[in-house]
Amino acid sequence: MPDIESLMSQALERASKRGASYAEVRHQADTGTGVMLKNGVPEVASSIDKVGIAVRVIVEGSMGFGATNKLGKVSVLRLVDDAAARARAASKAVSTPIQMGKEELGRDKVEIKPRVKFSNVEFDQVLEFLKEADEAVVVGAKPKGVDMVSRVLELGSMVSHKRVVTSDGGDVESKVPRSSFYYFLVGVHPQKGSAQRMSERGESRGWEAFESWDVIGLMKEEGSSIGKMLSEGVSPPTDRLDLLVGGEVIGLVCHESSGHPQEADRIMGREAAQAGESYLSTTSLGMRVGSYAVNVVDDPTLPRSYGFYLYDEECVKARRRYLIKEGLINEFLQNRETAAATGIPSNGAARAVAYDREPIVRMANTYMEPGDYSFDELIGEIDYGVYIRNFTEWNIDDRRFNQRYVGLEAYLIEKGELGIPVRNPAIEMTTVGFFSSVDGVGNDLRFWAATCGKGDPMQGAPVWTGGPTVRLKKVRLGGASA
Amino acid sequence: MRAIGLVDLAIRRAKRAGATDAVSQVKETDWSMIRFTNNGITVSKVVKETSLGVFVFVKEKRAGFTISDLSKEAVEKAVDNATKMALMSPSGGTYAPLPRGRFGYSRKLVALGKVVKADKLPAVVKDAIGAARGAGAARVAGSLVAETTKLTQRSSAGAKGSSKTTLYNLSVRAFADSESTGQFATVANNLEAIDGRGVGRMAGDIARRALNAEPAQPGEYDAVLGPMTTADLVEEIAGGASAFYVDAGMSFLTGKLGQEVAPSHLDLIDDPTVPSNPGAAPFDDEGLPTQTNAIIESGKLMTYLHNSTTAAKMKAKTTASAGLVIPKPFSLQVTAGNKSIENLVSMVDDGLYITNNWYLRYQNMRSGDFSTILRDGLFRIRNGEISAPVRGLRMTDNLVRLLANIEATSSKRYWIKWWEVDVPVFAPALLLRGARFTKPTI
Repeated sequence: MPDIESLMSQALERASKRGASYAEVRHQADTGTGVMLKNGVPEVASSIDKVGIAVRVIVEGSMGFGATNKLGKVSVLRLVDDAAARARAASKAVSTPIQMGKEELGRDKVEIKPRVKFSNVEFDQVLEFLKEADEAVVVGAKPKGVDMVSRVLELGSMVSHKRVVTSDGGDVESKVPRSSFYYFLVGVHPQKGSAQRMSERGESRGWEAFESWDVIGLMKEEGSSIGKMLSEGVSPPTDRLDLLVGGEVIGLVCHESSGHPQEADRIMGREAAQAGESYLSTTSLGMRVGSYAVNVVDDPTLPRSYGFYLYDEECVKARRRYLIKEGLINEFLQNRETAAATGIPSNGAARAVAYDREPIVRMANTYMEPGDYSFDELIGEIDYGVYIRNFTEWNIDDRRFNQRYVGLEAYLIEKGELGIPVRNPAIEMTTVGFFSSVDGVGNDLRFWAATCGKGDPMQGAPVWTGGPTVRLKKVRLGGASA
Repeated sequence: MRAIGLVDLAIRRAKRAGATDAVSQVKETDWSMIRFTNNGITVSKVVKETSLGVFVFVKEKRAGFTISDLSKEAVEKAVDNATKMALMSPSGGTYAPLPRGRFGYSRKLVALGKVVKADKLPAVVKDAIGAARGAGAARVAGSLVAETTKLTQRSSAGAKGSSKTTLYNLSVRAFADSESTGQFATVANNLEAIDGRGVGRMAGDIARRALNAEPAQPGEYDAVLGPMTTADLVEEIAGGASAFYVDAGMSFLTGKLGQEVAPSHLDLIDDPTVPSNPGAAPFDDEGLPTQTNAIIESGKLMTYLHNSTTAAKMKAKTTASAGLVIPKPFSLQVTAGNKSIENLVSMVDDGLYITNNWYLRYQNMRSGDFSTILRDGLFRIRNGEISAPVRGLRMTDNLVRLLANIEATSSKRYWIKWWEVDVPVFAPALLLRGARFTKPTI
């Protein structure tokens, strides 16, 4: 086994010798297992053990990135040479020389210890757990005559062990376990067609997380919900109404319509050809995009959260970020590169999901802050409306302005009470249109897990999305289902 | 240990540990990328890595792993763990032994790889940026990737193969202003076939023509889909043909085998056997020689894409499309029509010309209900001609319905792969009748 610490410091020295004004070396080991159950039958058990070193250098204002899993001294130093040479070769084609913001950098160790290690859980116990969950979906949907024809359940665990050292003094080691449960379900009713549902749970904990989620109860509830919506759901109303939106949808809205457009690298165009840019610009701080009731936060430091970290991949200490405050754009998500370019300090948003991926600006746990309303108070003031509890589909344009969320479990509201189920109501609104229509925010904040996609090559980052129930006044449902 | 020693070690160990079948693959990747933004290079990347993937079967019970520590001890430990996991799995699935035999592979396909000259990449990027700006772009972004992959593979059933492939992929997005954009992409097995100027010019031209777009009205329109959008939809259709999704009840093509799913002029083919096709490969993940698969022929759904397990379960023959869990296409193409793109446009009285889309998501994968954002240049077609640029629409429709409504394809095709399209697609433009579009209510 090579001496990683020595290898990392030699890599930093080598980068300096090759003319790097900044260098960063990251050793990252991601070790995980997964089990998939397809329609009640174990499809495959899998494991991954991905270990390697990444280097980032800035040479003559040009950024070079290199990664390898060949951890011999010769290979790593050659990688540094290669990354530096490529950066130098590209330096004449750089529009604006790249710099890293001067930040206070951490020298620390962070370790989250699982109470129950996944490796200590018997494999047949894991499968038994999944099989029970699978049966619960079927049982939940059956009373409504709905056959759950597609059930893919996946249970995963991963431990990320990283150490990052930078040429300007950062040195942070972290070890974080993550557990996740993903499900994809399709129910079919002989006369009413089919409906689909997928969602995810995830936390930075060990096996104890699975035990705390009441997965069996959750699956029964999902089956029951699909059964009810398919068998009883009616077309959504098309006239103007008040809309009650559940926390799961609100969490996704905050992620897609606040988190993404407020990533400073997107705003500055670095993702322009892939995930796109933003409807915001660097001068949008203070711009009103929502009502006074809207407060959106991204916080990597939430204990147990799926997007948890205390230092980012550039050794900057993580902190809570107020993205939208009382309806105004308050802060962007920044890494050290965007910090230097904008003159605004980094707020610790640089993340890389594996050793062979560069750190880029990412969300962690994005949510709408809770308000004072109880659910009963929110619904009690609605004379005519629709409640959308969760979703089946969503997408948003690459400027993060034109969004669509199709509800799965939804109900008509009449005179302050839930009524008959409504099938496939679509929220199709602009970002500002949505946030500006918010007139009441509930006190029932909850979180869901998701895997956020960004970067080239793609980096699927674990995040939480969260929200309370929220009321939108006098809006219209859009884009009727095909 | 060399690659061949590693794969042999893994197979031997798995058999000794109790596996009935095993397949092992060493993947050596030499990957380069240049990313550019605002007319300049933002990062130059290089990744050199080697991984070992092993898949073990204890009859129908299966487990797999990927490791990057290639020491003998790590390989043996991982194989033992995987075999143990497979042994402990409950029975119930379908067992199909791996294809038996020492297969011969096309010499042309196993030696497609070329040395990537990283120093030549910046010039291609420079050409692309220059051409896009020359065509009217104020800002240009994109990426150029060069990747050489060496595979060494063994199966316990006797398959032995190695291959080396190279792929180049250029994607360019041009901005005439922040909302007037155009994008184009290309993919090829050799750098000489990457036309940086042509791709840049195409993106820049779309962006310039997209200036001053007016908000579009939702509704039902005939539409001509450019090759970028065709590629995305074709990849979705081929994905829906994967027997894994069909078997799981997740595909809109479930229950449609042998049926007319498209007009009779339409063929959708997966062909990794032609060396010049990007994505060409000599063998699949089970070691079977690849073959040409007509997924749709003359409008009829001819086959799902199978590995041995899905084939056994669905009483079909494997199509040499493994993916050990999820069968997958390698290199897709839609057969060319006999009309130019201009001719397709001339067949539309009142419709849309769509140059690109992204973020396609399913409201219901089984029924095919989906929506996708129309991105980059979007134009009205009036009286058979492309007219004013418009913006703000989402295609909200059903893939089964759209497939049936493809009236014509263009004679000219383009090899497309970009951030949104993983599998190379040789894509024409399509004329769709009666596609549905929505837009935000506020």
